[in-house]
Amino acid sequence: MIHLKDINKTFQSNRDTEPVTALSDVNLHIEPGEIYGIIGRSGAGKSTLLRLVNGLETPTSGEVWVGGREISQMKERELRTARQKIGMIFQHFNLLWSRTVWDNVAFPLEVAGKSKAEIKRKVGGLLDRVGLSERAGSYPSQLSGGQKQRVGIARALANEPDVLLCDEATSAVDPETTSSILQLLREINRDTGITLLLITHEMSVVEAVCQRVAVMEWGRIIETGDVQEIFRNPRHSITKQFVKQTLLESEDGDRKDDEGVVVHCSLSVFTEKWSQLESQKGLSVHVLEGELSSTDGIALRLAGRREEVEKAVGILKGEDAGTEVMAGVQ
Amino acid sequence: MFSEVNWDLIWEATGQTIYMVGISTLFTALIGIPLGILLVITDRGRIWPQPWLQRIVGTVVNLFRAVPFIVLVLFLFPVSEFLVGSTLGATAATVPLIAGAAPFYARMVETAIREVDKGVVEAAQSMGTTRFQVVTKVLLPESTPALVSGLTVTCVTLVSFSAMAGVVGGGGLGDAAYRYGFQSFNQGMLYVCGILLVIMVQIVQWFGDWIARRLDKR
Repeated sequence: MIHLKDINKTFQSNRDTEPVTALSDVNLHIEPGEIYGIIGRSGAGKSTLLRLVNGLETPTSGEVWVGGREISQMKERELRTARQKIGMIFQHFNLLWSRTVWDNVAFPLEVAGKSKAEIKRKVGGLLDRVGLSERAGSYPSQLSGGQKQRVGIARALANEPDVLLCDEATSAVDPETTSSILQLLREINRDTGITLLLITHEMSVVEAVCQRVAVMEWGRIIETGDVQEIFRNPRHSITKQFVKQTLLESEDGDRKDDEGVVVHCSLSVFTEKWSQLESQKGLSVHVLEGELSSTDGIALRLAGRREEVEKAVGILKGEDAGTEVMAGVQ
Repeated sequence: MFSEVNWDLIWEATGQTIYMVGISTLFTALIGIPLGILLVITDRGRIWPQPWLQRIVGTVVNLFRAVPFIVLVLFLFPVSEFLVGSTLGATAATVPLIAGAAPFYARMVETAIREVDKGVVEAAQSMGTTRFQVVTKVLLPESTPALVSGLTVTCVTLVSFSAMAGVVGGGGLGDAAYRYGFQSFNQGMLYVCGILLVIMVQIVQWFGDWIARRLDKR
């Protein structure tokens, strides 16, 4: 469905400076109906890559094919028509604040020159699909982040596209909303067979919806494969970091064993001792509350064989008086 | 004091001010909005990059803004003659008023259009909009409150500019205050004209704010 062949992209900001390389030697093949994820840190080039697919960016060299047509060679008029069949949703939703929910969804239909009657019929169905029929007359400012993204999705689907591009679509909403948005995307993919290409910096998003994934760093694709396979056997160090990130994030929903202890410690202790804990075989560490950015410390669940857990608690306690065991066998 | 006020003259002057300010506000908007849009979209990284056109338009706008209004009035005598067929009277006075206010407003329009979220423009483009549609369906509607506030400020400025239109026989409250008030030692005329100008400015400001608020759905 989407084929990127030997893509290179450089930006020349002005005449005197060296061009900046955004993408180098990128090859990507995405099958129809697939949910494909591209993960990378910010500045890895994933956003540029996504914009090649609907021609918002043009490659410096290489070919972009979507649905058997070469996007990268299209003239403007042709490209505009092609874009109607490639939906896109955004991190910051990018709705028109001056239009109601209804009129936002009608926008792409107006652009496509659809009749008033058809617009009316379609918008109703789309809002119904994303569960926002009752908010049709509201303005975006009156909606929550999750609702705004649902409007964005309805708008992106208005012209029945074959491809939906998701640009960090869940990065600006809370975790519960993220999962409901991802659920909606999965359903839409299942019901319509639309091809989904999403970029994210969160491995949990990839894990939740994608079948295949490409990992990007410094404008290159450094690893691709089946999501489960990548999780089982990450090869590249960047990929390993992303996989680790989800293990830390998951609130061990399915392992509610009574084993293990909950320890509260300061962030500096945690980061300092983390490598020691990590190297300990047979010990699993889960962050229960707090984030790596918080200042008031974090709560960890340490699980595994008793002596391993005790050893880990010992490591964390060290000389620091701030570490305390909150609950569990000890 | 007010016994010496010639109300017929006052009402005539008020009518002239409203006429001059009304006509010139209308044309200021008609000229300023396209110029302002042009200043933004021809910029690099925008939807219609035309560096040369941008430089030319920018220079012309600055030129008109740099010339003091009273000098502009004198400069534009030939233009008034050509467009209106006369260099005297209220209609002739609108020519320099528009020439002075349109570039001023164009810069305000430019700022307002620049404030429109680039992400929204990108979203529109991703849906296959033409450049014209980006302007009419995104840039203009999304900046309307700022365009209205800008026009309000411009209109208030036009009220004060119009006082200088007396030079070309445009009349108006400013002219009346000067000639029948100040020069004729008629305190009453002077104050009444002043008060009416203040009221007019207040009404314009209040009305403009009200519209801008109603349009703002953010």
